[in-house]
Amino acid sequence: MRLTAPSVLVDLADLSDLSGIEVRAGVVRIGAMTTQAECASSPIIRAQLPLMHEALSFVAHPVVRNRGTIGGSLAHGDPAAEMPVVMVALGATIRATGPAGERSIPAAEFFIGPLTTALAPGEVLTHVDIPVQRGTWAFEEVSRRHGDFALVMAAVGLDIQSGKIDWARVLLGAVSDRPVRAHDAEAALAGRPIDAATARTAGDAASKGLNPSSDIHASGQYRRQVAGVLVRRAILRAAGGTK
Amino acid sequence: MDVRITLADWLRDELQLTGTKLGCEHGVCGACTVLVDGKAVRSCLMLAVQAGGRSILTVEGLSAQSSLNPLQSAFQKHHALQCGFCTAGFLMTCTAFLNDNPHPTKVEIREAISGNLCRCTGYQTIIEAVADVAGHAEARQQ
Repeated sequence: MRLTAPSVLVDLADLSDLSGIEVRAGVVRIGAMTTQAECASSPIIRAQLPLMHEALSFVAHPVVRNRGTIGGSLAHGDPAAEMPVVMVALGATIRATGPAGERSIPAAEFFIGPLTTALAPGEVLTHVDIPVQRGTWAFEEVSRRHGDFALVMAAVGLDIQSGKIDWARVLLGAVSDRPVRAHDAEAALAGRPIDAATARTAGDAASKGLNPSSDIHASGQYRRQVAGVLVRRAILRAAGGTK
Repeated sequence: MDVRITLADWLRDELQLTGTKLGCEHGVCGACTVLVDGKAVRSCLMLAVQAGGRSILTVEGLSAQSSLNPLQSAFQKHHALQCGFCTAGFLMTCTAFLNDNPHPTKVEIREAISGNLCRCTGYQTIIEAVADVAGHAEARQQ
């Protein structure tokens, strides 16, 4: 997009420490240089982070996923990209290293604006640590064509105990300058039985707090309406899903 | 070598391998797809220096001069091209895909080519050509 013209480019491809997927003590650690294709075919991610596995199928196309990396998706910070939403949804921690040493940044504090993250100049995103996911999840997205950046996306996680929602997480993407956690929708789900009325109420609550911008792809009003529908669908699918 | 030249420009301008086409030059259209160490990638989205020490296969390498390999023959047989601008990209995408998955379903074929744009064929004949190579009986008979 020719947004920047850096005077120096450094290719990190030969740093093998920055690549790979491992699970340890309930946390999946993914190296920044791991490609989206490697993540999509990883049995660890499929088993421990089904939400991420599902969302990866919406990340561009197979040929792009062969070169695109998880660290690139996160450090780029596109508001309409899937991986930032997934990382905030799952409570991931971004690991960065720089001249001042290593530090950890919660995903919820990492994305601070369009194409802007909490990474400081000189810092490199090295890994992302993702807790093995709680509950059952579903990911929904609407885009102009499959593989395009999302017009709206929603990720919903539910932990249902004895027929009632014990815990809920609702994330929306492409409706703001960063991933949006829908607290009102989560409150509308807490303690409720899972049914169509609950899903509709929570979907309405999710869309009410939004003020998405309009562009050539869709109006803000359309995005707000679709957000509510996707949250409703994701709730019902997450409720019927398996772990 | 100019360290800022893309692999696509280097193939076309330095090596004169102009079978690889450049459409959008930002990773959307798929016309510049080549194989790097057997994986299909956009040659407009990587620098030539990043290909150092790696094996590159372009459309020129699919068959010996003036002959067609089975995938190319199937494209011809099924009219899977019209103007031909996107064809090299489709051939390279499908070459990597069939290496990984020699007997795909039509749904898998559609997913595999979803990142390549064609403005002439409507894609159906491309899917038929790949299905033919993949051994689909109904595609064979056409």
